[in-house]
Amino acid sequence: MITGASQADAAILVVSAKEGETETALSEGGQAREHAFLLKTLGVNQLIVLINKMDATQPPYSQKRFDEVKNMASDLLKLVGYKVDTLPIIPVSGWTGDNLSEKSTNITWYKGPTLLEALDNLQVPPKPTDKPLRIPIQDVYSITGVGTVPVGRVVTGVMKVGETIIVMPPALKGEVKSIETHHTGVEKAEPGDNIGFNVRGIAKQDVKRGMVLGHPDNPPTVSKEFIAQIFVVFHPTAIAAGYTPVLHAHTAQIATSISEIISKIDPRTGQVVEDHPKTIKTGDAALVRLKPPLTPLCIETYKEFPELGRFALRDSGRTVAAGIVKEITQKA
Amino acid sequence: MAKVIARVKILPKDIATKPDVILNSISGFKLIKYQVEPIAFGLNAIIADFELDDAEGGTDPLEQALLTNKLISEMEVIGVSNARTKL
Ligand SMILES: Nc1nc2c(ncn2[C@@H]2O[C@H](COP(=O)(O)OP(=O)(O)O)[C@@H](O)[C@H]2O)c(=O)[nH]1
Ligand SMILES: [Mg+2]
Repeated sequence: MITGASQADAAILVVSAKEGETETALSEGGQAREHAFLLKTLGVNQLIVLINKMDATQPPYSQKRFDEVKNMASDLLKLVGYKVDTLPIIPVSGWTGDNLSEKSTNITWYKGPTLLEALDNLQVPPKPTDKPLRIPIQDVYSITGVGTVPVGRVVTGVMKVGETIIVMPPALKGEVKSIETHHTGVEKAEPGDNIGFNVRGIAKQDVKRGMVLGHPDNPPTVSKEFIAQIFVVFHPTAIAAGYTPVLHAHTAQIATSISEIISKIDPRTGQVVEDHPKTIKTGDAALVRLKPPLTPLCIETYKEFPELGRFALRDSGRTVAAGIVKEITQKA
Repeated sequence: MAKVIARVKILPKDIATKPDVILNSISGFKLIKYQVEPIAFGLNAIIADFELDDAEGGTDPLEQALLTNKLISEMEVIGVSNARTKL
């Protein structure tokens, strides 16, 4: 869930209406509770809340139970910082299909949208075409008769044939000779386009996954150290300064070190709850200083480039935390 | 154990390698279906759905298997879903 959430514009939070399950999921340490905090930390503000398993309430499709669960979920989401009045909260059953694509005939007391209608009501964020160009590199090929072909998805800005581009961190410049998407030549590429493009002046071995391409007058930021707001999703014990998980941001995966736990914070307001705590644990939000110890990393502040300022921290196959970049404290 | 479907995007090491050759070289994971996504200059990505146990570690074993496969250059998980859901 969590690597996906770091790219998401919207989310569906599923809460079981079954006696006991709701209480567990929403209480301290519960999964729905943690996911709600995580989504807030990552700035995912469009949320649909599904109250699921309505077929399994006592009695089935109970309005009373729905209201109870809705109130519990609302209280939590208010605590997390969501404007609950604007969120669709829908009684559904994934098992029987009630209120998913068609209005339920079992839940006649509910007048709001179905899940499908709620999905249709989500706002598609505007294409960030007028922002500086950023293309995280997915892979690079050397294609006979063509030359060096980096592959990636345009995140922000527009790249045109004939332009000079720069690849960071190595700061290599090249000229865009041609761009293709779906094997068709195009004159320019925009946010969301999956493209391969031929660049002259850059060799295949000099470009790698995780590097980011931009225009030379506004190149991608390369950071040796930055401050981030994180939310700890899962850690078996506690995280102390010196912890070294793997950071996943855009297409980059890089060893990183939490060099300082600056403060434990209230994830809703950002207010400091504890200054320089020794450790943080599952369910905590914190401001931390992150340092990729080996190689600098292309990363941007969330404020400037939300698409490139979110990341996940993973360790032994699990997502430990997710967060956003607040400030780049050392550029490379 | 409950099953989940992981959808992955696979980029080949060599653009000339056919998608089914790459998919056949992946063992230990049940392929449900796949699609070829044409990109550029003859390069195609493979979007493939694999069935996994809904277990601790999530998609990690699959990711490891794909990243160490000699025919595969890069991969990324683009979605995980309940096995009964159509992605
Ligand atoms: N009665 C009922 N059971 C459901 C419904 N949706 C899911 N379940 C069951 O709940 C169990 C846990 O579901 P799962 O999707 O793994 O939940 P999660 O892993 O907590 O998100 C499974 O046995 C599902 O079949 C529903 O709408 N009604
Ligand atoms: Mg489950």
